[in-house]
This record gives sequence, structure tokens and C-alpha cells, in this order.
Amino acid sequence: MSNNNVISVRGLEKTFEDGITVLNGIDLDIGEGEKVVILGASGSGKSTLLRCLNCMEDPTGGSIYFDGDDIADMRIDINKHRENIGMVFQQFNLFNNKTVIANIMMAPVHLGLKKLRKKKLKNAWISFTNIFKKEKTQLIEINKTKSEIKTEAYEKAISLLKRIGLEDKADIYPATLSGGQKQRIAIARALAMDPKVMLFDEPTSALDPEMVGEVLDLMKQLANEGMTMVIVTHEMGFAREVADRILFVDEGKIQEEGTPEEVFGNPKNQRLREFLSKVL
Amino acid sequence: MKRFAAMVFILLVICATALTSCHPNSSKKQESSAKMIDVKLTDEEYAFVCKKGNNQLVGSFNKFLSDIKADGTFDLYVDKYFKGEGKKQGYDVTTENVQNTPENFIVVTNCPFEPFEYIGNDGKIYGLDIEIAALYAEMNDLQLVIRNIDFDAIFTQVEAGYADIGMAGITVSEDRAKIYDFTHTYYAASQKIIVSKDNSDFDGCSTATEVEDVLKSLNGKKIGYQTGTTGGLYINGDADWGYDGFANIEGKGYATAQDALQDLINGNIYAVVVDEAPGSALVNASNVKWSVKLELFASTMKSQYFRKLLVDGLLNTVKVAVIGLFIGIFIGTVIAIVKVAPKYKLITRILDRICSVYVAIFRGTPIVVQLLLAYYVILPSIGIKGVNALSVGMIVFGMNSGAYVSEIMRGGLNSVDKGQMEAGRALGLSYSTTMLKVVIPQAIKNILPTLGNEFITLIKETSVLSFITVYDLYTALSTIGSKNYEKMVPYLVMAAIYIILVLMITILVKILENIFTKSDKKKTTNTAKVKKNVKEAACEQQ
Ligand SMILES: Nc1ncnc2c1ncn2[C@@H]1O[C@H](COP(=O)(O)OP(=O)(O)OP(=O)(O)O)[C@@H](O)[C@H]1O
Ligand SMILES: [Mg+2]
Repeated sequence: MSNNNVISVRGLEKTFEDGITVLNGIDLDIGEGEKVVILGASGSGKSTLLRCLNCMEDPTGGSIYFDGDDIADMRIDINKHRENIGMVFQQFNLFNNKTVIANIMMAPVHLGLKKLRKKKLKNAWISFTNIFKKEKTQLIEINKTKSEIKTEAYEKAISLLKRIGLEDKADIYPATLSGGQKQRIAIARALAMDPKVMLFDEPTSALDPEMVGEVLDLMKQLANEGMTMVIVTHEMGFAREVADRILFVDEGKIQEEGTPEEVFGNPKNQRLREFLSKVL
Repeated sequence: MKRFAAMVFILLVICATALTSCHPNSSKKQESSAKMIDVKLTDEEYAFVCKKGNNQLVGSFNKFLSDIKADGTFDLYVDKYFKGEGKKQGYDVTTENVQNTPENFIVVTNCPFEPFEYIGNDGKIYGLDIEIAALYAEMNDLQLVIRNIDFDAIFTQVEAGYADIGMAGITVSEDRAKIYDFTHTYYAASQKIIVSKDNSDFDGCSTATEVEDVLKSLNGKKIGYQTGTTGGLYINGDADWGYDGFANIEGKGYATAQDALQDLINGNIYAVVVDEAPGSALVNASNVKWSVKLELFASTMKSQYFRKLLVDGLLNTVKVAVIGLFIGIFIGTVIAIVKVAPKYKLITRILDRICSVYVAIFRGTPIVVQLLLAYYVILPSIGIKGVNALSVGMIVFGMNSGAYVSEIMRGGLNSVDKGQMEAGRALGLSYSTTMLKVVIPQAIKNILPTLGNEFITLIKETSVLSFITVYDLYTALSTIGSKNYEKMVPYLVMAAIYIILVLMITILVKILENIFTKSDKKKTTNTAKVKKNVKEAACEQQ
């Protein structure tokens, strides 16, 4: 079963420096292509749970398995894994000092070039040690040049911008964009890394009502394309429509989980019923 | 640009008003010019000063002195400078801080101290001390290097080994002999008193005792002298020198005797006590009209030497401020990053402590103290010799500015939304990459005006560079002023140059800010370049 799981969480705990325990033993498996929506009252730890999944918050206990590694382990190179975990923030967080296209291109170009440099360095080392060896070690294959990496990133960025209908904004700085445009670009920026899973933390909460639709539509498209998604949201309609599974978090634990029909139609947990009566 | 022109215009108007408004005053004071009372107050003897324990140099110099006294060369020089007989020989003064090597003979002196040392119209240095130094260097096959610095600095320079010998009409005293080695004496000198011309208190005085009786009867008067010279000891009293001092008189020290005389003419002090030889030259030059002052300045600036001096001084000031600022931004950024970085690891906590101590030290002491400590205490005591004072200035200014920039930069980094860092990290970029490419550029944009202020502060603070003998704008104009014993015009010019520099920085910061904010709407060249590459690639494929 773990083979199909993109992320597996076991006994996750998070206690903040001030001593407040927000997560207290979370077990969670997220299957490939699954859309999981996290619900919970304000302050119940939804964001904390989501942010632990890519270690934006360092877990204080338990394990998070991703790509064969326990990323909760501090010794693991987290940057390598974060490349494959896209994240979308409530406040968009576009890089203010970069144009829209530079925002999207930055990570692929920078990380691509970094890998290229590493490969070249390794090859130099291999060629050097080969001088003393009888059996020559094969050089690592370098399939992209510097400019190819840049060009590829550029083309990918343009196609993403076309897809969200904002290609005319490529060379504009984020300051002049509307909230909805910013959030769609933030999603495009995350997609540019070809992530295996996307984490959304209330992506529409900071938007004016008339812009919520465009962002939810884009997320629905992604869902239909089979993207694995973990979403914290207060958009109950969206949750009902898109989610494969809904989790209700309270007091540091997942109190109830099930399909939207189960959770909305027949909530068992007392707190969940209170919560739903307020939001529905 | 229009605004700049307007500001410069206003500046010129201010200067002009200053000049004309001074005019009536100065013409009134024209009559009340200074005079020297012709009574020797002290018995002193001049000698040259060397580093304590430099027996080789002292011995060889003493032998040289007795040789030239025996063969008449010395008397020839004295006649030349005190009676005006024979052709005087000028030598080059260097404004650079030349490294002290066995091949050169570095003389530090303090102009103007006519006729022992003073700058001539050709910008070369003349004087009795100078010709003696030149002859010694020639006879010993040494490269002569002459540097003109503050009188006080002569002693510290010699002691720290930056110079071989101090030759500046230096009076031998027991106190000084404890710390430095003196050559044999070569000239008997005395202090005299200068008062304003209409002062008749000393009429009829013919002995030192009579003058001192008059001085004792003056309650609460102020008397000026050049700091570090015998005049100060005479007024304030010094047991080792045998001077009782005057309890009823307030002594006032000046950087140069000329400044003291200027203050006397301005009516702020009662008298000046100076060495008699340069004193008469000072008095003669002290009473000139503004028009003459301007002419004097203009004629001095016609000399290529003084023009170069001014340009060098200006360049040094700008160099120290600019390089200091860059070093400051670098150090400040590093400290700020250490301060804002998460403190999980022990190493970051240790670095944080070190940075706190660094900031406390550099913000807790004046920059002058830092310069003096670095140049005269720390570098010589760790055995680094003959370093370039200009480089020391740049580094100390940079390190000082680093402490201030770190606080500015920390504010700048904190002003950048935390989400920017999170977004970078979430994409898999490292802390340092995100810092460098996303957070710091935004921080710098936010703190640009404050950084501009720091630059202005640096430019103005460079005037303390003279303490470590760097030729900055202040030293240059002060030297130009010493040339004719007229410093009013040079000081006004100095103020004007500082204001223009500061205005230029203000405008530069405005332009930079505009570029930064405009860039929010412009295309980035980077993506434009890639775009071009893509187009070309597409064309090739077709
Ligand atoms: N960095 C932190 N340090 C200390 N406590 C924190 C920190 N971040 C969050 N908390 C606390 O943890 C608890 C859960 O916060 P979290 O943001 O995960 O809640 P949430 O369910 O996302 O709420 P909301 O719906 O308001 O976004 C809150 O009580 C919050 O005050
Ligand atoms: Mg939240």
C-alpha cells in the first residue's frame, strides 16, 4: 500500500517553542492522485499540519515519509524534497523584486544550474581519478547545457502563463496585479517544478469574492488532471465537489475522516457537527 | 538637475554673503592687528627626535651635526634662513604614506614653522631643518622622504616606527627625553607673546619677569598656544620644565599657532604664546583684507602642487567614504544575516554573540579613537610596520560603518515580509539563495535612503583622517591655509566642497530610488535576453 502513497505521516507531533502542543499524534496517508481537504476550527492546527508536510514547520515528533526518506529527520536534505512538494500560500508570496516570468523561472533555473554545476564537478573528479584507475568509471551524462536549462524553463513558464491566461503579464512586477492573478501565478510557479504533490493553505481566503472563482477553477483543473493535492480551505462547496477524502482536525488529532458524503451527510464527531453547523 | 543647479546657486549666494558680511568687521579689525612683544619668555633648545633606543640613528646623526658645525656648513644654513643670504633649496613633500625601509629616511615635520620648515610658492618645502635633513640623507645615501603632519602626530609617528626622525623645531625636555631619544641640540629658542596692536599692557616691559608680572595681574583672560608646544606648558605650568604657570589665566590649545592667532585677531582671546622664530612670520601675515585673502587663495591655487594637493585630498576623502561604505555594507549585511538567522545551531548562537560584541565596540567608541588605536597602537604592537595610513583609514571606516549598517540592514531584512523567505524555501531554494536573490534585494531597496544618510555621515566624518596623517579634504585645505597663514578662505571653500559632495550624494540616492521604483514597471533585461535566445533558436530550427 505504501507504494501508492505520496506522503505517509506516522505519529506526527508539533510543539511550538512556547510549549503549546498543536499536533499530537497524526497518522495520515496520501495516495497518488488523491485530493485531501483538511477542515477544522480556527487555530486547530490545519496550517501547522500542512506546513509540517514540507517541513516549513519542523515536526517535534513522528515521521513523514516522502520519496523513500523520513523528511522529519533533520539530517535529510529537505531542499531536495521540497522541489517536489509545491506549496501555495494564503498571501500568494510572489517575489516582489522579480517579474512574473522571473518568479516562475527562478527555482527551475537556479536549481537546474546548481545540479549542472554539481555534475560537472563530479565529472571533473571522475576524470581525475580515472587517471589512476585501470577500469575507467563512466562519466555522468550531461544532457542539458546552461542555455538549454534557461530556455526550457522559459518555455515552460510561458506555457504555464498561457494556460492561466496571463501571458501578457510576463514582464510585469507583481505589485500591479490583482489578488486572483497573483494567486494563479503563484500556483503556476509551484507547477513549474513539476511537483508530485501540491499543498494549498487557504488559497482563496485573502481574495475578494469575485476572484475566488478563477482560482478555484484552476485548482479544479489541476484536480481533474490527476494532481495529488492537500488543501486547507473554508470553501465547503469546493471541498464537497473536489475532495476524495475530508479530514477534520481538532485538539491536535484527526477526529474524523471520510468521503465528502460521509463527513457532510453523517458527521459522527460532536465538534465536527458544531463546526459544520457554523460554516454551512 | 534644475534643483541641483538651484542648490549650488543658493550655496554660492550664502558664501558670497558670508564674505561680504565679514568685510566691515574685518576692516574694523584691520587697525587692531597683532604685534609681538619682544621679550624672551623661556630658554629652550631645539633638537631632532628619534624612536627610543634607536642609538644607531642618533649616534650617526650627532656625528653628522658636529661635522657640519665644525666645517661651517651649519652656519651657512642658519645665515640663509635667518639673514636671507644665499639660495634656498626646496624639496618635495609627499602626501602618500610611504613605507619605512632601511633605504629611505622618513622625516616628519609640521609646517608652517618659518624658517625651520614652511611651504614655498612652488609647493616645495623649505627651511633650516629641511636642508639639514636633505644633507644627512645625501651623505648617507638614503632616499629622503618628507611628510608634513600635525605637530602632535610627529611623536606618535616616530614612536610607532612609521617615520625615522621628527624635525620640527622640537624643544628638548626631560619629559620628552624619557619617551624619545633626542639628537644634540642645534638651536636656542624662546617663546614670545603676541597681543593685539592696541594692547598697551606690556609697554615698557623688557624682561621676562616684567611680562610675567603683567600676566599675573590679568584675571580670567584666555591665552592661546599650539597644542603640544612649549607655549602651553608655559601658560598652564609644568614642574618638570620649571614653569609655574598662571593660575589666573585660562590656556587654550589650537591645532596650529595660526589658528590661535586668528582667534586673537577675532577678539576671542587675549594673547598667543608662540615660538619666536615662526611668530614674527605669523604676525606679518595676519592682517590682510578679505580681497587680499581671496587673492592669496587664488594665487596659491595657481600652483600645480596645491591644486594636486586639493584634488588628492578630495579623492582621498571620497575614496575612504566610498570604500568604507562598501566594506560597511558587506560587514553590515553579514552581521544582519547572522542576527536574523534562526538560532537552532550552536555555531549561529556563537556568531550572534561575536557580532553583538563587534557592534558594541564599534558603536561604543568614537571613530577617531578607533583610527588612533588601529594605527598607533594595534598595528605597531602586532608588529605590522609601515602600513599605508589610507588603507587603515578605509578599513577602519568600513568596520565602523559595518556596525551601523548592520542595524540598518537588520531593519531592512525585517521589513521584508516573512512570506518571501517561505516561498523561496518551499520551492526548494536554500536559505542563503533565497536571502541573496529575494530578501536582500528588497531589503536594500527599503533602506536606500537610510544608507544614503550613512554615506553622508561617512563623507563628513572623514575629516578626522588627519589624525592618522592621511591627506583628506580637511588636511589639504588646512595646508593650503598654512601656506599664506590665511585659513578663512580655505575653510569657507572646504565647507562649500563638503556641501556640494553631500548634495551630490542626495541626488544620487534619489536617482537610485527612482530606478528601483521605476523598475517595477520595466522589463527585466534577463528575461528579455532569454527571449531573444529562444527566438534565435526558433529561427534556426526553421
Ligand atoms: N510559530 C508559532 N509559534 C507558536 N505558536 C504558533 C505558531 N504558529 C502557530 N501557532 C499556534 O498554533 C495553533 C494552530 O495554528 P494554525 O495556524 O495551525 O491554525 P489554523 O488551524 O491554520 O487556524 P486558521 O484557520 O486561523 O488559519 C494556534 O493556536 C497558533 O496560535
Ligand atoms: Mg491557517
